[in-house]
Amino acid sequence: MENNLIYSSSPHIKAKRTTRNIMIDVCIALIPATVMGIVYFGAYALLLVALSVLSAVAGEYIYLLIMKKPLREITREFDFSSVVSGMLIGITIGTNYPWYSPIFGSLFAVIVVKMLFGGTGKNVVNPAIAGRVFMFISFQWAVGAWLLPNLGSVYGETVISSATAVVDTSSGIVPKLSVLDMLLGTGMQGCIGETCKLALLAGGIYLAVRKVINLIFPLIYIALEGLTTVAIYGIDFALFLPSILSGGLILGAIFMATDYTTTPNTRLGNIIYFIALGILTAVLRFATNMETVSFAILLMNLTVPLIDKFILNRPFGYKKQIKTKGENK
Amino acid sequence: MKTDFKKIAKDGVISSNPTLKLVLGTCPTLALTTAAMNGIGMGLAVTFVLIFSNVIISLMRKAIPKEVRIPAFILIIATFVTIVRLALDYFLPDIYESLGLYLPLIVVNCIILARAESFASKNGVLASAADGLFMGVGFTTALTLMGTVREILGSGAIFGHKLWDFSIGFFSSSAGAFFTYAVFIALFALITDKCSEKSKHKKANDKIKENA
Amino acid sequence: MSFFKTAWFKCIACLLSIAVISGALLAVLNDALAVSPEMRTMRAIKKIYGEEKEYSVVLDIDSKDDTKNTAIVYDGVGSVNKIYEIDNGDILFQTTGYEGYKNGTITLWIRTAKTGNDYSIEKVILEKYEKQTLMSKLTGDFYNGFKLIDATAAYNDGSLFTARDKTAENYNPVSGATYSANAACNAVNCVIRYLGENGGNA
Repeated sequence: MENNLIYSSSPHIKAKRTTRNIMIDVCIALIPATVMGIVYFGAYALLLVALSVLSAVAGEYIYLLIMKKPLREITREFDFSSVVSGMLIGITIGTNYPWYSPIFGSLFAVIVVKMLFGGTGKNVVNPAIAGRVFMFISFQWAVGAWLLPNLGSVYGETVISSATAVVDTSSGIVPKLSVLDMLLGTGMQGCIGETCKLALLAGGIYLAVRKVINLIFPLIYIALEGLTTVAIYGIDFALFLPSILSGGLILGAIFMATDYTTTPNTRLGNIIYFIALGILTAVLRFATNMETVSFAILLMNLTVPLIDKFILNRPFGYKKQIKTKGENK
Repeated sequence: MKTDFKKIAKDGVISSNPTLKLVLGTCPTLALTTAAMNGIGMGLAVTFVLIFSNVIISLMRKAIPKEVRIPAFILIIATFVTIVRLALDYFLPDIYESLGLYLPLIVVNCIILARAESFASKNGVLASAADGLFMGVGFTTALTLMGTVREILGSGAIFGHKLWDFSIGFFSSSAGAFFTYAVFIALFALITDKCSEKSKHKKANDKIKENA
Repeated sequence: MSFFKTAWFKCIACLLSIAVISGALLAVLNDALAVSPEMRTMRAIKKIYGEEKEYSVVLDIDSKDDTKNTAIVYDGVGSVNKIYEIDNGDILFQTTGYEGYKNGTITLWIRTAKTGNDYSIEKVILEKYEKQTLMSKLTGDFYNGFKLIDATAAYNDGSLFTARDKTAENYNPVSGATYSANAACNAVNCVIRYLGENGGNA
């Protein structure tokens, strides 16, 4: 007998927003970036994204079927979170990856990072980030060269590999592409979705308007990363714009670092989290000459429980005690 | 007290498998399962040290005072590890190189110290030797299985022979080590639980048939 | 007499006796199972040739002979540690290349064969390395890329191995591990330079 009654504890306020609506909003916000990626990188990019989304959804279904949930119930309760993960994983790899890499990445992200830990809302780190790092580690042999670091287009050298000198110090640090080129993503090396910053920003504004994310925090992240890079290279403000416009920073800041589960609960916690993210990304980029946005987000995701432990939320209905002079005990 | 060798054997390999049940000695497990051959080499070295240190400690169990038993155990274990090192460097230099740093680390391998503390210092020589042998066998089997899986998935080879070009680098990395280890522990628990349930059902059925 | 029954005496006596017996046993075994530098060289020869061969020492930094144990150092490139003449006319070098990742080094065994008056590089294998992290990227194909028909001619042309210069004749790169490839190239270049400078005699 199916149970059609829902029972829960107070407060019994019902809102129109569901997880599914939020996730569909994120999918819509990702569409401009995906489309621009396909325009720049061709039909192979479409194949990668499609495979990634299909594998992510398939992963969720397979896991729930193994856990003996009936198929109808799975479809009824399907929130599009795995579609979002799939799209993100699809656009964070470059077209030099083999066709089967998003399959493994998505399956790993959805099954291991999300479902094994409890499903939507219980993932320990951002599943798209974990999937991207998984693919990055696993398929370097097929890629043939290290994924071209996008900071290479900033520092003016034709980069073959990340160990060769990236900074051309003979003529100072000169970005190779103009700021407009980097904003639009024309002629830039990188993953499928991260080159057209304009499309990503459009998606971010859409999410802010729909009140899905608070745009302040990604902006804090981006600004801090730029400022730290400026500070590292000797307070050279000309580097600010190129450094925030190169690499997967804007993609990571808007779509990956703002995942609800893996950010702190309090406002102060979030401020600390995103400031730390910005500084960490810039420092790691300088130290390793590689694109480190995903690794920085992964590391900071792991510190969120710590931040939450020390920066506590005010309990519902709590009034701060006002200490008066002369009060004893 | 009659020693039950069957029980010792079953404990060592299945119900108290040091790697998959007791989760001891994880350091070499994670580091040396990148290739199956490394797993076998480490397993054999640990088995050798286990058997001989168990025997000596069992022989000396009445003579070692309780207060200094841990330092005494470590001295004895370290002696045998050094013997293994010298022997491997002389006779089997390839295995010696592939084991690398983890060979001297066998001294602090939890399995050896744990078995010395909990078994060899309380039981007779023959039983201790058997315990050392079967614990070593359990360890070697677990390591070799994990090593084979990680080698096939992570470098597309088996026992050093390349099978195909495809590989998922994740499984050769340390993250993959932890992941494979966890999957093995889960699968092993699943299999042993199912088997023990089946044997319990069987025993209950037999009892019913007896009484009927 | 009761002194000998106290707990701490028993403890110390026990530990000391274990230490002494183990020490004696290990000292004996250490002598019996010691691996000498000659044996190590023979192992390297076995790796290169597949069998043991006779050789005579021209230069060996591990040798006790003071006339033969100073390495030949080429600044900024590397050093030649060992030179052995194999009984079939080949010369076996062990060289260390500098300028690796984080200023580390790579040490290689390089086998050269003599045809007429010219030397060719036949085989290169890895002995050890310092501070390199991406050694797995240096595959067998990379080491095979060091095969050279005429090393003395390469020295005369100045076409040494490089991992950086795409236009060079002997360009042997490794994508993603340029520093390590550079150190390996330097190690091989030591051999080319030595053969070029002392060409004809070993």
